[in-house]
Amino acid sequence: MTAIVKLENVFQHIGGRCVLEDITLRIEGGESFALLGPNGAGKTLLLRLIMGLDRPSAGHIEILGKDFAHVSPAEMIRLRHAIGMVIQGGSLLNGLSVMENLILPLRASGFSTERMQRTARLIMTQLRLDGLENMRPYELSGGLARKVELARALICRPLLLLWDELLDGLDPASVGEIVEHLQREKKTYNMALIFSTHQTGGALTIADRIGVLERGRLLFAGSQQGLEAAERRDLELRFALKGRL
Amino acid sequence: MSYMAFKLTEENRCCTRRLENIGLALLVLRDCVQLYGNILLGRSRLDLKVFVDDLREAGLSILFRLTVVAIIVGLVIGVQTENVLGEVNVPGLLLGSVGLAIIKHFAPLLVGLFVAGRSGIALAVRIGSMVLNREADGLIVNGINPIHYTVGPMLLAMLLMSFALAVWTDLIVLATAALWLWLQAGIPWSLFQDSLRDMLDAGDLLISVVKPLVFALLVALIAAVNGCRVSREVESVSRAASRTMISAIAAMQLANLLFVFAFAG
Repeated sequence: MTAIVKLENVFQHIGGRCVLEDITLRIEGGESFALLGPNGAGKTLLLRLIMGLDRPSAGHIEILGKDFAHVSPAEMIRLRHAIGMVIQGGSLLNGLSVMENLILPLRASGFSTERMQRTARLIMTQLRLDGLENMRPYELSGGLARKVELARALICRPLLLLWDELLDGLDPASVGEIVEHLQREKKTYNMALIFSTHQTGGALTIADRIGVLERGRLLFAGSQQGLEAAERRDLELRFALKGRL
Repeated sequence: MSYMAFKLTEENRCCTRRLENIGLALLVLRDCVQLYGNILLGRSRLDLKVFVDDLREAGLSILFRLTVVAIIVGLVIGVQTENVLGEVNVPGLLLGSVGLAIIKHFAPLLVGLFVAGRSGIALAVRIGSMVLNREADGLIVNGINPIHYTVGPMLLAMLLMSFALAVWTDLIVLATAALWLWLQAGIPWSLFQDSLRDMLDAGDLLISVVKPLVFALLVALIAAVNGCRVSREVESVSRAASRTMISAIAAMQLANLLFVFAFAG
């Protein structure tokens, strides 16, 4: 299988403090990987490194077979269109309407405005966002804004979706809808999904593998069953998960 | 750590930060040039909606106030010249010098100050808010260079508008001063015109239009650097705005001085 994400001995230092320590991870196409861990464990940071928003202090990161450190700016833009990301706290542009925000990633595609809007309307319907086209992001509720962000992240049919704090701020009905939608996308487009979460219920049902981060260290990476077994053996892991739960 | 060692470390940090800022400004400039090149080659499109908004912000929004200030400056110059004209015997030389000062120094600086106060601060706040609200991250993850989205159209608007505003300010200040001198001292417009023609050459006119463009470029780069430097604190946005204004004034004065030395002949 092809590795969509490959991290080898990744370290990240901020202000002289080691915030990510020796992370080695491999995510395959179509796989979904949940990152668990308490606040400040380094989940957001790890997702930002995978997206190329930050550079690691040491180690090697390969996304879709390309090393971010050695790609040209033009190639970087192409790569970013193959990766969707939902950022914690929201990153919609308040100066633009929902529709304008949605077609933002398509602007480099050279499509006509009509075609871009048609694509956006299609995904809006799939995520039950119809009627919000002309609204501004600050006029939306937190949950709706998250759904719009997801729609924007999925509009280019990415090969990899990164979601910081999956399902955060969403009502149970929306959680069901989104989980179902993500599963469909995974199956249809072989999309890999990496998400961080505090929740165990709905979110973990879509995870093929789980990783546990604690103080910048990846304590565990494996299946849910493996996690339960490891939790019984490993005291540190048990404490890390207790902090989460 | 001793006081001296601490002081040295602080100075080094300041120096490094300044070098970083220069590097960042050069990167911003490179990205803008790249965007304009791509637009000319048909590989990129200029966001017309953003560009029109920026044109309004960089030009039309300050036009009225700039005109009022230009009239005031013209009146002050007219009154001062009228007073001096009674004491000197070479009115042509005096009128020519006044005109030269207006066209080469006054008008470009006045336009530069207005552009820094309006567009420069607006740009720094816009970039800063985008960094603060993670909108900049949103652009990056969607494959859009935030500099192309913010500074690119604004710099172009500032360059175009600075040129137009400089010509407009020249005309208003000169016309007001000339009108005052004609009404109060009976100096005919033709004398003013002849003196200007004798004193000004093509090089002076070129400097008068190039200077506002250089000032606009400096203001935009300073605003972009300060905007990019915004941290996760809300206060850092206002700090970026005030730093932009102060640094822009200092940079424009320095550039003006360099122009004077470079084209003294």
